[in-house]
Amino acid sequence: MASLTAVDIRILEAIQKDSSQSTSELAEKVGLSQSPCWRRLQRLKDEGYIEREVAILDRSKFEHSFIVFAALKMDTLTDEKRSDFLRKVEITPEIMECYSTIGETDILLKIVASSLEWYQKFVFKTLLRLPGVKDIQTTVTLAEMKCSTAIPVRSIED
Amino acid sequence: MEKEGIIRRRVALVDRHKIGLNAHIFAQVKLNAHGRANLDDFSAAIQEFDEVLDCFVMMGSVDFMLRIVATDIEAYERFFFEKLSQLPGIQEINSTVALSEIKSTTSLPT
Repeated sequence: MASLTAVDIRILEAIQKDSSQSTSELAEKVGLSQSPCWRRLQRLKDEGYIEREVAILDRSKFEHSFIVFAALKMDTLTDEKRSDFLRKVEITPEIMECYSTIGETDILLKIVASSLEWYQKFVFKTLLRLPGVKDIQTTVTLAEMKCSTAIPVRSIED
Repeated sequence: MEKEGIIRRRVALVDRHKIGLNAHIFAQVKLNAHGRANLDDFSAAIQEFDEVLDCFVMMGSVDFMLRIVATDIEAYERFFFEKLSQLPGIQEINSTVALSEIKSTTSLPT
C-alpha cells in the first residue's frame, strides 16, 4: 500500500473510469511519457491492484430488468451445506452480489430480475432451494441513482 | 456492440483490499418530507461522495440503499457522522456491515 505514488493513484483513478483508452492517452492524462506509464500500469496489474478489466453492459438494452435486494435468514449450516450454498450462489448468473451480514438477516443478495413474475418463480425454484434458507425479505428497487465500480483510491492518502 | 451502446464502457476493477478499503457497509436511508421534496439535492450529494459506490431507489419502507466502502469501521463512522447524516432531509439511516463478499460480479445474465 505504501508503495503507491501520486501518479499510481492517478492511473488507477483514470482506468477505473475508462480502461479502453490507449497507453498514450492515459500517459497524457496522468502526466507521464508513454513507456514509464506502460511500466507502471503493468506493475499495478502484476501486484494485484488491478483485479481485472471488464465491459459494463447497459442493462436497459436487454429487456426490462430491475434490481431486487433479497435478505436471507439462514439456519446454521454444516461445512458441507455451506459450500453447497456458496457453489449454487456462484453458478446462478442472476445473483450478481452476495454478502454475509450482521444483524437481523444473515445474507444479502443483489439480484437482477426481468419481471416480478420471473422473480416470484426464482424465489421458489432457486432461492428457497438454497441450503439453509429460512426466510426471504425482498425489496424491489425503482431506479439506480448511482452505480459505480470505481472505488475511492485517493482515501489512502488521508 | 460498443457502437450500439450495449457495452456502456470498459473499466478496470481495483482490488479494494489492496487499497486498504476493508469496510463494506450497506446503509438504508429514509428521507423526511423535506428531503423527498428536495430529491435533487440528495442525489447531487450522493454523486459527490466517493465512498458511496451504489445508490438504489427502493420501493417500501426505506427510500434508498447505499453501498459504501471505507478503510475501516472508524472511517465509516466519521463518514456517517460528518457527511451522510449531515445531509438535509435525512430521517433515518440503518447501517449493515457486510462481513464477507461471497460473490461480486459486474456480468449481467445473458
